[in-house]
Amino acid sequence: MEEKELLEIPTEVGELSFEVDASLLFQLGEQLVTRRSVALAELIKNAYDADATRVTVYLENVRNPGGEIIVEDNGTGMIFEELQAYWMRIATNSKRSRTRSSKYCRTFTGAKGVGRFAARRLANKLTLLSVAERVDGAKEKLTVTFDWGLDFKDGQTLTQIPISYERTRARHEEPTGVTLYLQDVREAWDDDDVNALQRDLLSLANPFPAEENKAHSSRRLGKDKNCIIDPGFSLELEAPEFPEYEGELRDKFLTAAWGRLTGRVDENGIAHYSLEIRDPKQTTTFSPSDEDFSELGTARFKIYYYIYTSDQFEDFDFGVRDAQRMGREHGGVRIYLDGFRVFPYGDPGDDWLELDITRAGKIKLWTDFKDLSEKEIPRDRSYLRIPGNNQLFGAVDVSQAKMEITVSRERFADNEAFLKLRRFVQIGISWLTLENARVTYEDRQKRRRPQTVPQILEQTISKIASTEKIPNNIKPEIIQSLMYAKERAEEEQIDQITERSMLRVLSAAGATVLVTNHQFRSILLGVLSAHNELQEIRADVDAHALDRYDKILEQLLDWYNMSKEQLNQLAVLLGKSARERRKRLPVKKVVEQVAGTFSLYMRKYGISFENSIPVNLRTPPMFKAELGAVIQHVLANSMKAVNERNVRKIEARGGRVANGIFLMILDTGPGIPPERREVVFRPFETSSSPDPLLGVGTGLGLKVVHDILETYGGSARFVDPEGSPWKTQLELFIPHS
Amino acid sequence: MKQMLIDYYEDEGSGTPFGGQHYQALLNNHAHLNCKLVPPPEIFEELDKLNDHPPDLFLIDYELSKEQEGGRKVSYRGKTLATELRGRFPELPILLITSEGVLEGLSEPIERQLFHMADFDELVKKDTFDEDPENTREKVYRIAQGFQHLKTISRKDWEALSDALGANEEEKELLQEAAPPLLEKSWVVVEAAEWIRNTVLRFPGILYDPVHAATHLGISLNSFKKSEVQKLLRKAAYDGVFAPTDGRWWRRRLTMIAKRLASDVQVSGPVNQTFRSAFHKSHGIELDPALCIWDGKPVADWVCCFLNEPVKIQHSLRYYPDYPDQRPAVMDEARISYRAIYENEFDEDLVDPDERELIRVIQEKTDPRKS
Repeated sequence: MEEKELLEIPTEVGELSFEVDASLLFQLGEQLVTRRSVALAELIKNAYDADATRVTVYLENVRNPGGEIIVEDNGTGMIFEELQAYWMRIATNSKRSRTRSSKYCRTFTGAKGVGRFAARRLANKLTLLSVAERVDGAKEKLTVTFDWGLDFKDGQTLTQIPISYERTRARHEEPTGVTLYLQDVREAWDDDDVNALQRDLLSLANPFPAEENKAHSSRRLGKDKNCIIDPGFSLELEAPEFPEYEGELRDKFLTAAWGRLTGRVDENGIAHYSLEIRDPKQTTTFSPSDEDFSELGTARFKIYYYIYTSDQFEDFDFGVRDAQRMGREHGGVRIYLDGFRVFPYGDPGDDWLELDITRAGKIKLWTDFKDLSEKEIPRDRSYLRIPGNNQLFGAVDVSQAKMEITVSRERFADNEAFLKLRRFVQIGISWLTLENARVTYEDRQKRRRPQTVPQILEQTISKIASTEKIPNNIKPEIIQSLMYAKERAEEEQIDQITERSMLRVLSAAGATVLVTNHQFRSILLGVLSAHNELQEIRADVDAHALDRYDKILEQLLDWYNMSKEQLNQLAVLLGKSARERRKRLPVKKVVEQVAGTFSLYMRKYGISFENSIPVNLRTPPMFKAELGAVIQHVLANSMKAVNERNVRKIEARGGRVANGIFLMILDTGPGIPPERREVVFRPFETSSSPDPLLGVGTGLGLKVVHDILETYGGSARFVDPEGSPWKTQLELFIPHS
Repeated sequence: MKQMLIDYYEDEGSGTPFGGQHYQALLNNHAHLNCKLVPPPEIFEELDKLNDHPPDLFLIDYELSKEQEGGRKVSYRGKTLATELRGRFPELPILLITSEGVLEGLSEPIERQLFHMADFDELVKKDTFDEDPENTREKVYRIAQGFQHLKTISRKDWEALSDALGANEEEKELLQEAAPPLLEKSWVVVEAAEWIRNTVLRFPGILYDPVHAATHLGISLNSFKKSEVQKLLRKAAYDGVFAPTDGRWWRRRLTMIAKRLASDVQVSGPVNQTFRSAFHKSHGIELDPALCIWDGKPVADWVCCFLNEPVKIQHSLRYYPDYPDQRPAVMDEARISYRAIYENEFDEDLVDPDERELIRVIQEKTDPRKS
């Protein structure tokens, strides 16, 4: 029946075409670009592509919605025909037919033809003002207004919405360029927003325009005789409402870097690195022989490396704290694609070079690189101190030819070229770390020699006495105060036991335990013998006393068994085999043994301990006594922490990561506030109360844990606990040897 | 049965309530042991007096230098006395008695000297003695009895020695491959005793302990201990000199009995795969199989030398637990199970070098008992 009806429809042949709804611009402007700074960046890129040498961004009355943002450039502008053919045509632009700008032969930064709709993300209205020179030498001025909110409504066909414009002749002296007036700003901007915008905008153009870039520009010039040398591109933010955010990254700061690392990939795909160290002044170079980066094209980078210690900033008019703040706010290694920043690489929180996770011990970095692993390595494992993102200020230049950016204008596609780029920079940073370890080895050795407070004060006094920066009229007063402080410190030092002395005391305690252990075993044997003797004469005991007698017998045997268990656990620390050879130890078993020493304590205080470590988890080769000591200290801390809480739980977890193993001790104690999480690893820093069974503690427990792990290049740190009921989470990491 | 006389040298004889007298009493609780506490001699010539009436066994404490009643005090330790006694009485067993605490206090060279030289035939730990007096005194008794047996053999040749073990012709051939201590075709008591106890009875191959015997037959230890099974295997049991308390079984005899049983009920195949079903057919009793310690599945065909648990041979690696390696080739090779490699503190250097690279692979496997 249905078939019959269908057959009755007359045959018709024709053509269909797409119609575009006005909401498409909303899709492009709002949903593709999530960050307001990225939206502005898109507009700035258009200016760059139009051969502008300067762009100024004005923020006016933007603390509330309704304000205005003006983006003004001094580029070549657009004539009416260009506006009509390119600006007004979605997803197609002039960059399709040309790959370089006409004046400076800049490689175009955008290629998707949607960047300009980012304006829709920022304000309800856009007025475009362009002054451009025509082929005949005359100049014309264009004004076009887009009222996104009023004219571009959902359901309307985009191509049928009329856009009004005005085209007039401009005076000859009028400079060319485009000014975008983003009116009726949609969202309010506060200090944080402007701070972020400033950071993003100032970093948008490579802050370290290097000689290499100029050379690069000249090379390009050589290919096209019509191009003139690119004078560069600068960007300024003017925000009268936020005066503190105006300006640029201070050049002076760059001179305070410990070293400047540069890297480039040559035409054969070979990477070359160069490191200029500030003090002692020296330059070294390195080129890995077994790495091929030909997929990267002409990549290059420049990275400034900062060490945040006060001695590094002695010669500058800002101190280590200012530098650290700069590091926090502006640090990171950014990527510039054909001169323009690609977000979010190098932003705070972005770790595209995997520096922070390497520092956290989660992955291995430098040892992967053959040439580096064969270099002479300082014996104190300082080479493992890969810098954090906040210690690096850098820019990596890559060309669009090889790298592919996602349509959202944020991030590169995760292709082979990007992975190579990462490796190219990582090798450089690894080498930098190694060089730093080499150069600073002697200094660190010197610094490691214990310096007392009076010694430090003594040095400070002589420095102040010899400096000319402090006026002579106040110098004696400062010196006198410091002398007094030094005397007081000397007095206090006499009364205070040092870490080293405490370790000596503990070593004596260890020796005593060894002897006591020996003697205690004999006593224990006596207890068992007594039990057996009493058992032998049980038949002679009066019937009415038999019950009591048996209870005593039982108690004796109980004591014997419990004490023997305790002594056996001591073997983890004191047994000969525990100190003889390094072995790959089964962690679960050792934790089990150590936890056994607390069995009475746990029973007494109702503490539940769960050993969730996988049975096949092994340490790298280490002494059992060392692992035992680490576990002993962390468990003792947890025991003390939970014993006054209502919920008394401890759990040990563990697992493997790429370059080692980790252990986690979680407990339901009171927790450690973030500001104390580093302090507690210092000697004599304790927050535990005296414990009736475990004692008051030596104040060296976590310090010992830290030091033992550090011997193996490992680490110990407190982190935010993973969910309920945990309040404390200690993470221990031991790398593979 | 003959009473075995023990001379027990101890410097804490009566000075402490649980010293020598205590262990003397424990030993004397054995019906066939007679232990006498003897103070260590001030001069070794005193030992010559023993020639007239020597004991059957010497027991010597390691620490002998404490002052005794009457102000007597000697300046040597048990090891020195043992050397003097061995020189004078080469056919008598000498046992060291001491506590774990003393052993732990010894330095590595001294400890090695104590146990790798021939002056002491056995170590008796006081701790173990107190914890398990029954088995300890039985062990002491059997050592005395074994030495006594060897001593009384008039012809000290191979035939007599292998007869003392109760070996048949085939087993004698195997035993000869285990390098018996024959010098110009004759043996001496101490060396023969050492060979029997520390080679023949220690390494599985010619004789099997209960775990090895059970695994050889493809059944669990509990099934092996069933009286019906023990009755069937009675003729394979070792009852020769130094027979240990936990029992030993001749491997070849176990195989023969199992094969004969299988043949009787018309079952064919390897012993460890057929014994269960053959036993079930013949006796109507279900026996549990030997489960592999790694995957928990039947049928294990080897014993992990580290955990002393059954394991499938393909789930184990060759291991050299003895340093220096004194295991004769005729004995079963030592193998360590994947389970021990997975979760225990073993010595990686003792794994066969050709297979050492598998250690990491095994340790990263998913536990088959959890998957």
